[in-house]
Amino acid sequence: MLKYFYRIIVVFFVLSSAAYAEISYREILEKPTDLELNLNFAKQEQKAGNLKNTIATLERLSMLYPSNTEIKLYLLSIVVKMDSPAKLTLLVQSIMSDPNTKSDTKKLVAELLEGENKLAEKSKWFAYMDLSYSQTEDSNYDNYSESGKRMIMGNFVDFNLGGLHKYDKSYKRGSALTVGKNIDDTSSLFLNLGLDITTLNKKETGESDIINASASYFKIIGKHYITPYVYILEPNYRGVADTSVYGLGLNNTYIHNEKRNFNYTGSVAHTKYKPNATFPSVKSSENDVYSFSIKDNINITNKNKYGKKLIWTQLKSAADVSEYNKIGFELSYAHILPFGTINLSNQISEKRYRDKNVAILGVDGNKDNLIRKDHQILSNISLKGQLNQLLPFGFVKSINKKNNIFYDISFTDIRTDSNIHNYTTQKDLLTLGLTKRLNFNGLFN
Amino acid sequence: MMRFLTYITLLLISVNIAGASSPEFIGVIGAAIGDVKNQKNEKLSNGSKIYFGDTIEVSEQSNAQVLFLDQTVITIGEKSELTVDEFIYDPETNDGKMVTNIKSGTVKVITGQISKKNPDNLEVNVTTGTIGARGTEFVVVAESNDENKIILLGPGPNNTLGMMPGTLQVSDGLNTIEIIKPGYESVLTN
Repeated sequence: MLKYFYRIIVVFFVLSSAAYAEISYREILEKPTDLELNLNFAKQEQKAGNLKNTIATLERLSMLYPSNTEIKLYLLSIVVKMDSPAKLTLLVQSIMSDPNTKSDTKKLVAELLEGENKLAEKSKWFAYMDLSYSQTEDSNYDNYSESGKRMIMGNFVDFNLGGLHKYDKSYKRGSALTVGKNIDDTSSLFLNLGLDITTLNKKETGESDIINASASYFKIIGKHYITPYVYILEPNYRGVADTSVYGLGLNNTYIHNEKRNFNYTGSVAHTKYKPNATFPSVKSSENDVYSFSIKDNINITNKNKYGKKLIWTQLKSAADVSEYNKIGFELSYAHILPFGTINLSNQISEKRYRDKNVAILGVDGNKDNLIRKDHQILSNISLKGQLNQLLPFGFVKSINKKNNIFYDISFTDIRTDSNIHNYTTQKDLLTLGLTKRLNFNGLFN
Repeated sequence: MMRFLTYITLLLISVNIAGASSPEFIGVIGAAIGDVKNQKNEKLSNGSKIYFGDTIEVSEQSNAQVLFLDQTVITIGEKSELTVDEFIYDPETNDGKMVTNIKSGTVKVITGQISKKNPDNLEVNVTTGTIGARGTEFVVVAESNDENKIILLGPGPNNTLGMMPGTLQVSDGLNTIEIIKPGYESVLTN
């Protein structure tokens, strides 16, 4: 009942404005306290879409006429639509704590807010879609060895580039739909479905369409921010066997204090190969990958931080020769700049395989029991942020009015030293990407 | 001779008028509740004019709202002090520049035409940095000379009023961060 009363007040205020001649801002400057003039100005500006003038005028009238309930409710009727809980809270607090506010008004405001909260309850669902495009230049797409040689069945041969490429460029188009629900103040559920299409400039082998789906749950328990998740990937690679990947994992960040937090992750993934006439024996390549990492993040200031990370990965496969253990250590630094956030990282790792590869070393193994061992240094520098930050020009701002286009520039250098020539490689990757986020929250209101 | 005297008299009158004319006002006090005064310790009341270089001081249990010519509206809370360091505005083109300095207290700003035309031309200075704003409403809480809190009030991107969502650029002189979500805040410290 009270809600209808409130709506009637608002409708009355808006409709009644039609009866008045246009009021200029200059008139308001001359008579800023005139109740009738200013109220009509507020309504006039609301009709014209100048809501900031309406809000400022109603706030002034609320200050000048604190016992006028209708002004407060009129202001409240606008602020609830501003998508600003902070502003709404400030206004409600000021109404409720104002000694001039009558108990009837307080009751009305409480009822209105309850109604809004019920609406918000219904709107706990949210959805958005990320549309992305990136291109990567790879200086050594087929991992051409540094020596230009490779070993096959125990013999060194030239690393023949027939059908292989040192330099190639890949183009990736991605779309990912996320639908989520805020269950309560400390937990949320996310469902994600995405498709990534990658094409290459020179090669065909390696081009792919990858469908991915995931579900994750986020929960805050004390100082722990926990996210368990499951996912499935359905890649369709050109020229190689198709696979399905099933994975699950846990990500937790423990907030030690304002300056320090620890992040630890654990995951397991199973890759299932799909044999066909072209790839009849790929079943033997099926594998499970177990990963674990722990990272210590230190916030130096509120604009920069550094991190130390330990990484462990193990691959278990039906083919012993593919199995390996990898241990790595990463140092990273991030700094917020006016045009984006710059990230620097350097990772060193050692990968030890379990068994010798007969196809490379030969049955007799002219390098007796030489089991592959790689040392890798991976260095990365990236800059990410909103496009408006990087290109603060009128044209860019006009196409990115909602600040929902993000850029990503990344350069990676990977150097691998292996005790087997084939795998001693070096490559650089330069990636430029853009992502536009489309917000569908309006669908749930 | 009479004509000469007439010219002299007219000249003297015109010089006198020019000398007596008051400077252009840049805004008015839209509401003054309690004890509000300027740098000359003059009491400011509803409708009082504000001039370039004015400082507005609001005492305990008082508050005020200032309306500027470009439709920027500043609400000043109790125990607050604000100076208008620069105000240039052309109502024909909406070009202009506004620089204010918040020395203490709580101040809420609703941006006007100067910021709408060119966001870079509205500058709100605090003791620990600078705030730039585009199409928005925000609050500055000057907690001490060494710490200022800046909170974006909106409107948010999902407002149903057709309002353009606003953004804030908060800078400590070395680095700038952007606030785009209402309710999010930045603390500038020395």
